[in-house]
Amino acid sequence: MADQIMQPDTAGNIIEIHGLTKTYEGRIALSNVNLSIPSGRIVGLLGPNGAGKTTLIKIITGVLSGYSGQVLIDGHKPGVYTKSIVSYLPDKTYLSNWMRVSDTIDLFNDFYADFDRVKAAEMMKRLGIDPKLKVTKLSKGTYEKVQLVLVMSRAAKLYVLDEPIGGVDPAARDVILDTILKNYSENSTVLLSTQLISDVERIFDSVIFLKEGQIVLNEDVDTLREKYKQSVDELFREVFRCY
Amino acid sequence: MLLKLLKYDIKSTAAKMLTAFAVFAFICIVIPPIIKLFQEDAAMTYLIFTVPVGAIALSIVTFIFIFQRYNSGLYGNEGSLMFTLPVKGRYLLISKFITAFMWTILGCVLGFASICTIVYVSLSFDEIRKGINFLDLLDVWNISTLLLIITLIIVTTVQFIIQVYFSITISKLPIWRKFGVLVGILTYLAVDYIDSILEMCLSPVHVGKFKVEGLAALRAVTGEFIWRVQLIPILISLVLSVGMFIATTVLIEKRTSFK
Amino acid sequence: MITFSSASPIYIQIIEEIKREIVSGVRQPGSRVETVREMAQEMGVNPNTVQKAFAELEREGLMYSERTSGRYITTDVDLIKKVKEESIVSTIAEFVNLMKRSGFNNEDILRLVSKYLEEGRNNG
Repeated sequence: MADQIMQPDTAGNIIEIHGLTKTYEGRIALSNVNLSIPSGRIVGLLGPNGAGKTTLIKIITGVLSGYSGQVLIDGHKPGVYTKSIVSYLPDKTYLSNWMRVSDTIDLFNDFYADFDRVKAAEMMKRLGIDPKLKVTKLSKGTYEKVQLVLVMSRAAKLYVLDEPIGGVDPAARDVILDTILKNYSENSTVLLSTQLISDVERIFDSVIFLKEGQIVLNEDVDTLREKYKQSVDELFREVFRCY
Repeated sequence: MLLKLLKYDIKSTAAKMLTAFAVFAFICIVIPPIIKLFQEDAAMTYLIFTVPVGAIALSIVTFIFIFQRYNSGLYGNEGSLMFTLPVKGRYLLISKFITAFMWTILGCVLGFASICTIVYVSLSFDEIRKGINFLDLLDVWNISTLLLIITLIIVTTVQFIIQVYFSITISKLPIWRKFGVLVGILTYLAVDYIDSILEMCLSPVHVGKFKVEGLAALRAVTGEFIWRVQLIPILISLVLSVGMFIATTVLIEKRTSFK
Repeated sequence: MITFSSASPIYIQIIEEIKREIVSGVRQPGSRVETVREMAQEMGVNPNTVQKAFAELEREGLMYSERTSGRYITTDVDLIKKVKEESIVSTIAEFVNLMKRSGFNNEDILRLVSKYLEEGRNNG
């Protein structure tokens, strides 16, 4: 079984951002952000509330526009094509209230060519989710699992997960991390934003620290640990001490 | 892609809309003839209360649905899902529009059916029958008029829906800060105002000239002449609708903020 | 999921864990090693991290890979013995330093260690 993960990335970076600045409601949400992320990585986007994580994520996923600077996802500006290769998990509930779980699977299947409905059905079954249930009747934890299954059942080039483990019990958290690792492929990248770093840092290749709309750190986790002799979590607390 | 969006937009509203329609149809169309079978007088009295109330209720329900589907569908939590689908923003708009249009027209058809029910019920009243020569009435209402009425209904519906969507989208711009809702309402009223002004300035209203009495007046007021009067307001309405549609599309596709 | 300390890179800790398993016999010479993906999932870590660890272990000769069948622990028992001895050297050094700081010299250390081992053997 071919197992070589660290192949030279000739396809170009999945995320290329230069000089990204975004202001809204009079505030500077992002300031001169520069970022290059290749395929086959699991990257952590870390920062306190209000640092600009969600703004950056919304721009990458094409939900937000009106920024200055250059943002390229797989070499394209955010638009219809990038939405077809980016699988986004927002940090809130976003499924239509009238749907049953089976409807959500149909929806994803209808609109995303890379959606694997068999895989989704299997995952739902393994997690004990009844597809006939109405979305509004799901418990918070189950709802989040449904959204995660939908997002991870796509063979996307970029997965963007906004706080996937916040407010979730430890068992569910393990399931989520396990699902992310299981779906890992050298052809795709996972960008995961979180505030609960200690649980998650072991799955990151590299982490980005975002502070007040600016990137203050962007390094491989191993390099960080060697350099600072600390875990990412400890380093984070130091860097953001005032928060 | 558009067909897929339509499928989901219709699915999301079908249950509630069809229920509302079924209730209205039952109360205002099915029941009256049954009442008539037992007691003629009662049927008319029943209709006088139920049809206006029913029509207003149906209109309100339809409006609420049009508003809600757009407002929460694009700007609520569901919006995150809609705007990450690999479709251009305009298709989201078009799909919602077609669905809203479909339900509204269906509602109008039901409204028309309830009017027919009134006519059917009232036919039993000999007094009314004597008063109106039915054939004369048919003569006045020729194809041209029918077409005009249908066109007016369609154009009014189109403008109404687009105007609601446009107002909602304008209200969501971040520039307004907390005053979004107010701005939305003002936008809606402003478009109405502009519509009226344009009509006043551009359309010829000559009805005053005709002082003919009776049926002849009715014939003059209805029929071909009305087309010439209504043509310009119809065009104004269409132009405004297209303009609002384009503006809404641009705002949706180039959104600057999304809460 | 095993817990990793925060002070050093995870791939280094994985290398040390695997070395411990080789030295203690948990992983027999010539035995098959899990795939990168399997190990990553077991440990709940990034596959690239496991890959780095494996690459280093291969470089040191403790693991080798067959293109079609996967990775295996080396059959070179001498190398394993060498690693076993190397791994204990730092522990011995720590022990000796501690004894010396407590005031014992080389003869004392040897005598006390032999006595301890003797008593251990007698007690079964």
